[in-house]
Amino acid sequence: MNNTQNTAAVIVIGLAIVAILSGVGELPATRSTELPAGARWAGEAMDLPVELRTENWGGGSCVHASTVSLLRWQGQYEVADWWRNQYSGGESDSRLIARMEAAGLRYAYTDTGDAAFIEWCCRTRRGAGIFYKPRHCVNVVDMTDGVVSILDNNAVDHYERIPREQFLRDWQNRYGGFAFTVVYDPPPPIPTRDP
Amino acid sequence: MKTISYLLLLGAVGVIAAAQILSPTDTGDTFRRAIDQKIERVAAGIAATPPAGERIFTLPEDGDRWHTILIYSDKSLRDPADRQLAGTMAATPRLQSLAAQTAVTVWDDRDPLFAARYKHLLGSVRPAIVVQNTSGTVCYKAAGMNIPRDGEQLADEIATSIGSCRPKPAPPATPPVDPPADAIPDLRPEAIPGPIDESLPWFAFPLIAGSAAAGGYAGIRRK
Repeated sequence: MNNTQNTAAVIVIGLAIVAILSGVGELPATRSTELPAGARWAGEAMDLPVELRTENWGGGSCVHASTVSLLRWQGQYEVADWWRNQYSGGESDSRLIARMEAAGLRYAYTDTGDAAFIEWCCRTRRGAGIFYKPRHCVNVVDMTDGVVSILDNNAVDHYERIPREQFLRDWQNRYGGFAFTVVYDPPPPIPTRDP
Repeated sequence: MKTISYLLLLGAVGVIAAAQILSPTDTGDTFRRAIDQKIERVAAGIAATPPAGERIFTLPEDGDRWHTILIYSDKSLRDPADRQLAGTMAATPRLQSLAAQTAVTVWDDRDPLFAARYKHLLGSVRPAIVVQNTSGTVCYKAAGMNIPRDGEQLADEIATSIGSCRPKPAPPATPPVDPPADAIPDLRPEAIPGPIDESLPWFAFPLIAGSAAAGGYAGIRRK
């Protein structure tokens, strides 16, 4: 191998290193199904990033906080901001429905403790707001056969896991069985590369 | 005689009353106006009544849809490349069909949910188009200059990727389960499909380069 061949080999090695390094960090901008290792769907039907979860405000706006989180999750940012600025304080189920109606929102609700409604909210990845805990309202972010996950606007940094039977018993019997959601398009699942 | 007189009197009273009702006198107009006003008030009351407390309708069962994601530099489509992709999507019937069969999400880099959850996974080259199946598997992704400018070619590529992204057959021990046909977007053209892109994938170049380097290094050592 002469000097020209050695030089060519060094150049090729350098180009290879540059090409490999430039591909690190994200999906390549090519037609591909590749994803970084470890990218997996978290599992919750409604998995709002922490920075977008709406904390309770004004000393008791839990219904509105839950509503704003639903709107943000389903991409209705402008309406969410409007709702956040428009309303605060305590809220009843009937007045919430009247306000969603007045705002022209697409919404659905149950006031009969129908578990199928929450199941639908989670099955379609929309999430739900429910009256739960004494004089409180939270979001249901997932519901499986065994566990219900809720996002409490008084502690938005984690999800609470409650056994399904206990959750349904309390929701239906102690807290009135009211649940609602807005009906827009939730975001797609977190991308994965494995079927 | 008295009986005849009473009958005549009653008849006269009846005739006078009937004449008042049927004739357009002031009294009759006032009566009708009063009735009309009452009807209007009732109608206004009905219109002002809040909607029924319970409206039952069919909730959309759309949780198992595939997803088409369009990511632009700016949703206002000021960038020519963004406009090119948007125009291709709008002008190609098969891509319109794809949009109709899937849940379409349009993002740009300013979308807070996209920025927080998806951007690091889907890259920063714009525009981009991604097709995901119901579980989130990326079946097709093209970005920037790699997006075919021809809509039919783009549709062909997506159709090919959808075909390879269908659920795998069930194991032999269990009865085969066909995937729900209506849930998988069908972009098959009526004519013969276009040619499959047989260009080398991106990672082939470093591999080739590495092989060449290894060969060269071996040559040096042998010498």
